[in-house]
Amino acid sequence: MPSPHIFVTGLGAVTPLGFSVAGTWSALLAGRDAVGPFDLFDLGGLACNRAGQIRGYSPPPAILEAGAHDRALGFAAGACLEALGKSGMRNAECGVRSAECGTWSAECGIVTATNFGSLDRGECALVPAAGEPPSSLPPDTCRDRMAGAGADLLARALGLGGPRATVTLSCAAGAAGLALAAGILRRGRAERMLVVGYDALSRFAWSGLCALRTMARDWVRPFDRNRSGTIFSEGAAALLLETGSACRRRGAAPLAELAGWGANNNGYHMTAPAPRGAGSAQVMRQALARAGLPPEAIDHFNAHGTGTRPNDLTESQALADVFGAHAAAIPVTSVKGSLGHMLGAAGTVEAVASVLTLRDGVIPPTTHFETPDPECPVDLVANAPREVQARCVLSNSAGIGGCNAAVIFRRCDG
Amino acid sequence: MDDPVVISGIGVLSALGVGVEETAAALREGAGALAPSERGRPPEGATPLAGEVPPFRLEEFVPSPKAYLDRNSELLLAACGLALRHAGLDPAALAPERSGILVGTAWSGQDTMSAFFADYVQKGPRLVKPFLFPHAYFNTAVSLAAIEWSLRGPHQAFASGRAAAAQALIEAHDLLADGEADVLLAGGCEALGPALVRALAALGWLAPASQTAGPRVFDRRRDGLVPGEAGAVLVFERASRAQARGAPPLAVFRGGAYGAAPDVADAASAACRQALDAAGVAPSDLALVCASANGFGPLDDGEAEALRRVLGGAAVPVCAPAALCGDTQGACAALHAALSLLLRADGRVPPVPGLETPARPGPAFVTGAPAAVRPGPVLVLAADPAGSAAAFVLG
Repeated sequence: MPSPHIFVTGLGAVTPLGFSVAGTWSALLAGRDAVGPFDLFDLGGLACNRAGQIRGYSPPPAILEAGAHDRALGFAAGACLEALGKSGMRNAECGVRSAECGTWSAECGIVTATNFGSLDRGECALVPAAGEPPSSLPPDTCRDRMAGAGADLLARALGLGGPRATVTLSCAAGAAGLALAAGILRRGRAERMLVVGYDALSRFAWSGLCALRTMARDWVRPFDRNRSGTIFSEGAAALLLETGSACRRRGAAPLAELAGWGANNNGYHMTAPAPRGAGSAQVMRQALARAGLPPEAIDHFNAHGTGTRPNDLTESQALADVFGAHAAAIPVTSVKGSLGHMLGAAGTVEAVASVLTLRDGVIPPTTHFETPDPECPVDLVANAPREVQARCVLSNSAGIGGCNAAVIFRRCDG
Repeated sequence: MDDPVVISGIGVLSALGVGVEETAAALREGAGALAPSERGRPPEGATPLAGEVPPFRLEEFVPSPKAYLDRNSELLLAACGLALRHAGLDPAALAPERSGILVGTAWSGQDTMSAFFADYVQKGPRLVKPFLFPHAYFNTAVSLAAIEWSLRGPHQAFASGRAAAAQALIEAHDLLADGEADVLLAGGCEALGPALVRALAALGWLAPASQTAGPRVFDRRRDGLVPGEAGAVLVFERASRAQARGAPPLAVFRGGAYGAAPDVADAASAACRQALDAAGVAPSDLALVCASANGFGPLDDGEAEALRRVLGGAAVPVCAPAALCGDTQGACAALHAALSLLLRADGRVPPVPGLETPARPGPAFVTGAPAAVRPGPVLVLAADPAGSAAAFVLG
């Protein structure tokens, strides 16, 4: 049986730049900043006091009714509902439960991708007060310590009865989730998979991320010689994937094809990237091979681009090693300059941006870029959007533990 | 498939023992390995029992010294070392980019998370221990294993509740079938400690303090689970590769499937049916069914109903290892796969301890006396009370 082609048919996003794909995309193209003062909780004297914090967001009632009360799943549910809604499917097809349609759809599954899941609520149950009996711990906050519980709650809220999985490959989770879902579709285990990357900032996550000493004090400046680190953000981004036959049956107009994917490990170090980004290079080659594409077919590179020296340097080297002379012809951007680093959502929000670049023929800028770095000789789309008629985009991700993931999107007429 | 994906090595640590030989001997004895907990500090009102891995020396299985590892990572790394040894693989001879690892865990290193956050709560956010944080990720254990053995190929961390390890095994099969790797380690890990046991107690999943004999899996008197821990890793490769290096396959991975539904019985039966379809195996062909039931009523009843629907009148022995060594949560499918292969090799399966009167009629639970297991395919089911499941068939 030939392998099915896999298409993106719906996008959703809840980010500090906007609570929709349209809002986030227009803000990215305008070069607006999500990063600002961080006051979600008392920082207790931590020097890292800027973040991409989401303010004023109301979670969809469906996720509250399903029993989720953490911010992270609120973001995820919003992104999922937008992706399903924008895909043009009726409730009965996509599985969204409603007054008219209380049934579950066995045709659509879900992969959640996250670093910390619902720990923004679950952290309260990690350290009981002295003498506090377990019976006094709220059961749902204990459940919130399981990263996989989010997929169960989202499936309940949305009525998704297809394959359900959670992947937690640190900051490569979003792209790794797309890779897993693509494999599920390819093997015929489902015809539709919703993939959502999400994370919320919490006391647990923030104190740990500060302790890693990778955070900048002002802005994220990917690939800039004077970059000083990354800044973390929160939110969610979702993509609905469908096989070609599922699209044809309902006459759906795909936004792009998910042509290649891969996830691997550096096999080197928990927090330091491998020399010359060898693991990233390998996962890019894996994605190209899966897509059946030569390196020269890639027209745009949506970088992990965290703004840390180790990442930007090794990612530039990996780009050069994979693409050779063609690297100079590939426009590169990192949306983290505007959005900050959305953790488990980074891979999916960058996938959303990649798909929109194919759709709209424009690359969002890498903001706050001032000084080129001779050690990162990439063709950076700096400070202003660039029009490009790209046919194929590669989006690259990496994370703690030496994890890497890459996905390639192809224009449907490409 | 002309060149099927096979399992060529087992690394296993559970309350039943460390390594294949100890585990097989414990299974033959069939007495179970639950004892008053030393690691979990069972809360008041909860069963004092647990299935804890007996003491072991990590350095016997893991080449490089470690400054810090939590129990979850220790169990996984030890299981990897055991699996490579059991498969007769020299890690140095593996092609790093063609070798990978995929692991499932439902809770990961809860004690590291708790220790890290305790400093935040008690001392303030500036006094957390930085070295603990990278160990507090859900992918910590699997990524440490990749680093330890230079497994630079496919990598995935599943956190899908009790179905997590089953999904890791299914994905390993799929990646090998697609030619994405030469050798993959796939398995699960779950570690007992105060933080996890507190959570299980708060969720209302633990058996009560009065339960001092063991969980009553599938029984009318079922009243909760007894927690267990495990590291279980299987070595996957293509049959031709195993044959070329003279390694006898322990099993063929015939096929697997996911299931999800609001109801455990629907999710589990869908996973089992699709796994059997993918494997091309009829229920009556099965030699053994390994359930993930653990004594928690909604899970046991859902699995019993699912097996009744799927097996119909087929008289296939159904075992439930959680009654022997405790419920190992996200690791259960990998552990149960290993135990199933050992039981099949031994040709007999011990009765489910504590099972006298099934709460739900239907499947041929092994009760009273050991049952014979003939050579043939094994169905392993892992279900989660939240309504997801995964199942696979080992030929």
